[in-house]
Amino acid sequence: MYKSRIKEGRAFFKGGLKFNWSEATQEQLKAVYDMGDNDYVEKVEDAAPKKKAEPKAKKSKVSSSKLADKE
Amino acid sequence: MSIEHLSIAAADYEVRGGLQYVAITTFDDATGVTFNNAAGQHAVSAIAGVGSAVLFDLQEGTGSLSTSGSKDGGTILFEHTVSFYVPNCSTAHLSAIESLRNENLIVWGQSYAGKVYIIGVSEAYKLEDDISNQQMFATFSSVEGGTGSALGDDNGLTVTLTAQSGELPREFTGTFTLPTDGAGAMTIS
Repeated sequence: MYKSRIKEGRAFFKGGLKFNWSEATQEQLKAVYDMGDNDYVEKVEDAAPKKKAEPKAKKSKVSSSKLADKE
Repeated sequence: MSIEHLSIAAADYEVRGGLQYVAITTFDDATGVTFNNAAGQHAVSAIAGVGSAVLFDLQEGTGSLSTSGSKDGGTILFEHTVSFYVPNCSTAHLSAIESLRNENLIVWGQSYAGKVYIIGVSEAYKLEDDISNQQMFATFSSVEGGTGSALGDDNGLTVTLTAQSGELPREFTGTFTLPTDGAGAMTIS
């Protein structure tokens, strides 16, 4: 993910790239980042998705007393 | 847009005049420019690709930015002039001035009030695929001076840089960092 430090204004770059910083898409921010001659955009590593906890195995509700009765 | 209320404070009448520093680079160095036209703003908030520039430290009372606009029929056009005095016709100073000759320039002037202004880039009337109006860059338009003749005469050059544009000079609110020890490079972005 790319994040800009400039929040407002209209930018014009060589090569025809132009956009408003407040509405910049990830593709536009990536293009600015890849130019490499400025520090307007930083690349932020995506946080790893949290793993869902596996549901615990259901415990047997058979009580020990009932087991004893069966015996 | 309507201007409903523009407050003037007493301090507005006590802002210091004159330029303290002038920084110059070639127009082609810039690879990206951000114009800030938000309410109450007339600024260039970032400029990419420049990095550094030729910096002149100015003696108090020798540097100025002036602008004049006139309307002949269609629209108003402005002419901005940065003028400053470079003392001592040394080889280093002559070389720096010589390098500006016949170049397309961007000029920053930092005032004694701490504001930085930029001329040579403008948004008005620029072409669609242009980043900062390649037809209205600043140029080195005149130089005057020399050694003088008497012992007490000034030895130096007065340099004048001009740019035409369809808008008033913009304040530069991006990074404009001066060298701290007088010898390091400055940073512009």
